[in-house]
Amino acid sequence: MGNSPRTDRIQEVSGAGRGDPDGQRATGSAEDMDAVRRCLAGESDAFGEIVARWQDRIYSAVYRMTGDADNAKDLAQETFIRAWSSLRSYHGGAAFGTWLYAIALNQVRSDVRRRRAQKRGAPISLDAQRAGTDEDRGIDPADRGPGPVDASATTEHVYILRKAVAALDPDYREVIVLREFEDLSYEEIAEATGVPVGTVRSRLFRAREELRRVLDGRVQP
Amino acid sequence: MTCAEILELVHDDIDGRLDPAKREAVDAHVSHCAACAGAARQLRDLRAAFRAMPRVTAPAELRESVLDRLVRARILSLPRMAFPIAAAAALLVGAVVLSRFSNRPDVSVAARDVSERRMPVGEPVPAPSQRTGLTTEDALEGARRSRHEAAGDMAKKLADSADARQDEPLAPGEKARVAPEASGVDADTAGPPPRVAPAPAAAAPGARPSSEPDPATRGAAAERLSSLETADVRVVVFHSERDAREFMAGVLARDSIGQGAPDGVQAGGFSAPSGPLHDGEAERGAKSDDLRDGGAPPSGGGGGGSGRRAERGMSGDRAAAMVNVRIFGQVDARGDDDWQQAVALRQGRVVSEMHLVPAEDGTALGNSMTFESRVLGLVRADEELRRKAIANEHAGDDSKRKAAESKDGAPGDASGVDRGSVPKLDGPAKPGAPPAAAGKSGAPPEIPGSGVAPEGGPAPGATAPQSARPAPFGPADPNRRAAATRIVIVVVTDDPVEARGKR
Repeated sequence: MGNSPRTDRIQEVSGAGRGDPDGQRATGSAEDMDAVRRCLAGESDAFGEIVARWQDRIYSAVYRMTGDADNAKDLAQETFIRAWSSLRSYHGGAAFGTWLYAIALNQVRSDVRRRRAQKRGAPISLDAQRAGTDEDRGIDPADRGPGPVDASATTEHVYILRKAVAALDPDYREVIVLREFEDLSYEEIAEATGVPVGTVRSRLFRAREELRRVLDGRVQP
Repeated sequence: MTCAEILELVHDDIDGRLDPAKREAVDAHVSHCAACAGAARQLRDLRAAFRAMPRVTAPAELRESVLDRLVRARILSLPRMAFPIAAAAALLVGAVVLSRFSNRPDVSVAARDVSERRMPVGEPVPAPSQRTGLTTEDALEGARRSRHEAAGDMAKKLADSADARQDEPLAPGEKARVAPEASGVDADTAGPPPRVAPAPAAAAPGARPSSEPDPATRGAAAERLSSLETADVRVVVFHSERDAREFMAGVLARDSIGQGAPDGVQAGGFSAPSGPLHDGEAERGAKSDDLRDGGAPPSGGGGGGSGRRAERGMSGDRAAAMVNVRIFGQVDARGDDDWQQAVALRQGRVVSEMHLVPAEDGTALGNSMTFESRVLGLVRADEELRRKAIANEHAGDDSKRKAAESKDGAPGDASGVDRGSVPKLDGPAKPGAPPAAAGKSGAPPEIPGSGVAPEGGPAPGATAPQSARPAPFGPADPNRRAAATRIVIVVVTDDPVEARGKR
């Protein structure tokens, strides 16, 4: 699909946007490849550079998916530990950031599975019997109210939006977070999530339609 | 086009994936369809709202905590870093070996001879010689003298080195029974190294082997273990694999989810390897870069290297004199983080073996040593159960303390060890007993997120935490659990059968 002037404008905006505070592409740069090479060559400081460069984005993505600051910190940490131990398996086929996001997603999914398994063995709370919720399905809701990270900046519409995102199906939540917060392209989301681009498109469509239905015009820019 | 088709294109347009021709069609439709115009407006508002969301930044300490974990892991997990520990253990064993040939009366530490040493984590592990002042030349020079004298010197040297680093007073009445290991940290005393008595092959349940320490000794041992909660690295020396297994079971029962509640622990692979040992396999098993994200761990699970080597490479007196030294297992997990770290970096524990071969003159420790390691399996703790167990344990501590205070009129035993119920440390292992919490199959579970099934599973004779048997430790301060502890378990035996784990 060709890029129109409007498309270029969007990419330009997103290129300097939230997922890309340094003006570099959201999922990787030559600096990353250089740092990876130096890591593999034994320069221990290089991995510190990688962490420094990516920690906000990885933490942000995980936090948006889990809604829990402490958990997000743990999972982000695990993501980097995993990345470090698997660094030799990264050959630059995908953008480094996409590779990192994929690891982070695996961590989040594992965490969801673990919590789900724990909940299966736990006493059932009558308060949690709200049909159709994640809790019903043994999944921790991704939002537990304003978190410490952006509590001071939380306004009503932000809170409402976060709640709505948290209520999404995890598959939809992933693509929304990666697209809307992390500014990944469809192709990058496909790589990170391991699904075809067409699936990314349909999930984004359904996720947005769900949000539009739930929010019903309550969120204004 | 229908409204539904237009809506899909509006989504594409929001993401900048619409070509000009289609956009014109969308614009034309929206200009006369109020529903689609409303939807398009809502979607644009939604996009704008997302863009207006406050930025989330990582906690300031995230980077440091990642690097700190990596530093710790690299020091303690990677083979090149683990080697100094192994070498340190070898030097310790050297002292023991030398003492074995001495004519001293049997100090009789008995089947269980446990020595814990600690070493700070978070700073590079210096070479054994740097830590202790001991070198191979030292050992060989010592060997030229009388063995007893050499062992004594070695022990003294170790102790001197350890004294300089000692950061904590010994528990009252605490005595070293084994020459301090060569990791060069707070040794106890520099008394003469003991003569090592072989472990009893088996004992009836409940029966105390003749060489078993008396209950007071057991209590002291348990207390020492408990008092070493803050240890970052512990070297525990056993003289039989059976004892090491029981110790491991205790460690897992206690450190993973707390005493007396082993249901959340799924254990396996920490028992003696039983398969064949192939040269070079160990190296593959130890390479961290074999661990892919979600990939399979390197193969392993074999073992029996000591005995096999004795069979194929040694004979006669020399084989008989060969001392099998095995780093039986390493437990490097305490909290969730560390379990995850263990999973991420090692996909299990590393079990290593070393062989100390006497010098050609048959008189002393030679420098022919091999070091092999392999991944055996995985251990997992259920976090929720662990927390509950800790809470229960803590509650138990309080009640114990109150009981002790009401009885003695003084604060309770700081170690929390109940003297009257100190478990049998030397109780016989239960060959073939299924891991208490490893599920019906007895196989260790898949680690969540790793996508990796455990390797090997429990070897024959594996012992897992027994719910009916409390772990051989006193309760611990939950705060101290947060510190990662690596326990290096070394088995020293001159019995090739024992070394193979086939009793």
